[in-house]
Amino acid sequence: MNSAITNQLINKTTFLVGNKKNAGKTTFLNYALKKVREVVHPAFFTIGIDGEENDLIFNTPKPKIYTEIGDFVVTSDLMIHKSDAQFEIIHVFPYKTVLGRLILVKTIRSGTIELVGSEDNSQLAEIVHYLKTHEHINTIIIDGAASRTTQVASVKNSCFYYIVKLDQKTINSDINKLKTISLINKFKIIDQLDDIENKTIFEIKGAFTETKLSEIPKNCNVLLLQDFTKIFLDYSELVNLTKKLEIAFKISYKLVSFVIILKDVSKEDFRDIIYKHNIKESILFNPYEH
Amino acid sequence: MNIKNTIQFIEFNDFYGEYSPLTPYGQLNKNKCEVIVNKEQLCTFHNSIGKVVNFINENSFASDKIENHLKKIAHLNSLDKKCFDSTDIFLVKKLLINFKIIVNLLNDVIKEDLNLEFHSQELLKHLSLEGEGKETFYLSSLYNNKLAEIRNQISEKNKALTEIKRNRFNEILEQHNLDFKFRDFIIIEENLSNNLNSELVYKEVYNKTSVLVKPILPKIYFVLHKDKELLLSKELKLEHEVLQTISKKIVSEKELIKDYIQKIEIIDTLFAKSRLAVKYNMTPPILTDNLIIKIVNGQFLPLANKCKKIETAYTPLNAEFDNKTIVITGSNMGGKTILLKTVGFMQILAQMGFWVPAEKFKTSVFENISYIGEGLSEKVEGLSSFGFEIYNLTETIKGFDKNSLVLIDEFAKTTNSTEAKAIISAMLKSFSQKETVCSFLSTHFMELPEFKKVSFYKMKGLNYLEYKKYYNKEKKYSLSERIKLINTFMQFKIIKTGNKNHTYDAIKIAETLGLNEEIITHTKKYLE
Repeated sequence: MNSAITNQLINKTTFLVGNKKNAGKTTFLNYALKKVREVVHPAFFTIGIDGEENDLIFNTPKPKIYTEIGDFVVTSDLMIHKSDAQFEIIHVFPYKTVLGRLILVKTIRSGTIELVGSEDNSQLAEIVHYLKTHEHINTIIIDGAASRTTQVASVKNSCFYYIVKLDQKTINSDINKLKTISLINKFKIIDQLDDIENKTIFEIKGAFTETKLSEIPKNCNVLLLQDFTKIFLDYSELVNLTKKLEIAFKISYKLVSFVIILKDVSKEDFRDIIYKHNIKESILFNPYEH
Repeated sequence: MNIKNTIQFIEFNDFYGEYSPLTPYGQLNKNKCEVIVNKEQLCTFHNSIGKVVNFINENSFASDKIENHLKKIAHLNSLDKKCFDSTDIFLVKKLLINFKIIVNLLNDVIKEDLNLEFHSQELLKHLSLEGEGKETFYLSSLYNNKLAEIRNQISEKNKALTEIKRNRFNEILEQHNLDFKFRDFIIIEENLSNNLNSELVYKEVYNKTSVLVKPILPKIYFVLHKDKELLLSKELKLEHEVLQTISKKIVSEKELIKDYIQKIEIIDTLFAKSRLAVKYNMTPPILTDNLIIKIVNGQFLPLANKCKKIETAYTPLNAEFDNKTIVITGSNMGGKTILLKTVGFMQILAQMGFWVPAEKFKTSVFENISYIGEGLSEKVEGLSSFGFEIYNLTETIKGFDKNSLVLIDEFAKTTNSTEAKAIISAMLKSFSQKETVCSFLSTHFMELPEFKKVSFYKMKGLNYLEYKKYYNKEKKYSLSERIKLINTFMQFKIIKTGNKNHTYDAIKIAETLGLNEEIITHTKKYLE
């Protein structure tokens, strides 16, 4: 059993980001929570409202989230009243969702809980700030929205697991996504670049899309972006660009690991793929696999 | 009162952004942006700020603590209902705890001034069965013996269910080396699943080569689970009863709680205003029934702050006007507009219940405060700048039956000068005859007619003698150097003049700003 996960999550704010809907984030969350509880009681919450009833990977009803005594949970008050667990209310956030006000509770009797969160990145950052500064909770796990990495950048110095469901039917686009994240992960923070004084830096504010490529001056050595979530180019466009210049970010982030959920793809085939594409990031295979 | 134009003209949001009430109630009050027209009410506010300023100065630790407790207060859901849920009760409890502490921390002077008392000790005690002072809340078993009993039974069932699960997981681990401690299911290769004990685990197809395996729990587990479900529904019923009992107590003190909320709003806004009063060394405005305005060392904070940032000297305004209709003339860049902005800024602050950044600000309470001039973002389609000024003037005049302060900056400068001067003269005559109107009009038009109750002032302008000593015609100044030069030798002071006063600084300023020498020479000749 992978005990590295526990160490990776302790005293950090970690997002679970999936490459698509039903990539297995919630299932991984339950696993990660169990591992973390061996050491500390975490706080966890989600982004937005997940309307999906079924987890398509496992063809099972959407996995429930278990909460144990001592956990801190942020969800809506309506979900708290629906749960079979018992909670002590610690804080009411000034944010409303269609399913009620967001509240922070501490679990005083174990049970299952449905998570509802805010979709607003600034509210998300404020929730994390509150947990850290007012409640001194340092291990925070956030079940992120599918295929949206922008949330990760909303919290400074956060980490993320990128959960990739690799399906034989969509393998090309899945691998492309994996390669793109892997390539982006190699880009540095501006302060870490060598010989920066002698380089011509061009900054693109906001989203870096295909249309902005023409704005980059020919003499540019370093393209500066706010953070990795602002990149909306595909893999080949990025590769072409990196042949001409360096890409750097203003805000740091850390990819902890890829979590690979294979569907009709063998581990051997997947290993060949990552070798072929020079993907050297940490890989965690589906922890539910024997 | 529509103060939208004035707020924009005086760059009020720069300052207002600094005004930070800490509770949602104070924030809502701030968002109203209310201008008060009741003199008595304003005096009460200004006096209360004085008491809070004294308190902050003398009890900085206690005032920090008060701020901390204000920050903890959240917005309550509606109090006008019969049954409250746990979140509602939590919010009420938190409000009561923090309000009580705040009242205890304040001194008698403020308590008496704001009529502050905490009367809900019994209710707070009832909401704090798990221990007083704890700001969290849950429906404790201490509220109801039956609830306690049911919860004990649920707890027992949970223990038993966990035990059964654990035993079954151990059995599976021993027999098949499959560990379900951290997982609800395990994916294994299909060929490894053939020998699995079908009484311990069941299989589902996962993909072409693997199966998904889940533990089968013994029947007793489901029996106990069903028992637990029954207990949970009983618990829910009992919790509802407890909620109703607590709700009744809250409803009976509803009016008191509403009063606490009002008091919190007042304390919060007073502290926020007082913090600014301390920061900017403000004083209470003096409100009279006389429409004549006096300012001693008044600071237009948006500009004073900018000057501080760029390390440039800022000259406060000293002006004791002797009439209620004032004409201001003077050089370009001489501070006419800033004078109007300072007057408007002080007045809006005073009528929003703030103290003012001046050694002395004597004024009256106005029911209308208007600005007419350029630089407003609002436009009416089809109207030119002159047309828009006329529109604003027309709207302003409609309110002249009530005390009105009108700030007019270079009216009609975009139309022909003969007619513009005639309109301004007519305005002066009309305004000066109205007992309810105090107006400030800045203009470049000279030799306006003299009227009773109209005073003429001018901005002192460029200190040309000093400036001439310094200015080097041959030197190539950058634009920012030229602007700095003008500001250095500009005397931002107001002096009383007559209506015949002439100001000829425009050419000097044009010269300083680098206007082509040929044009300057022709201009001078033309004037001769």
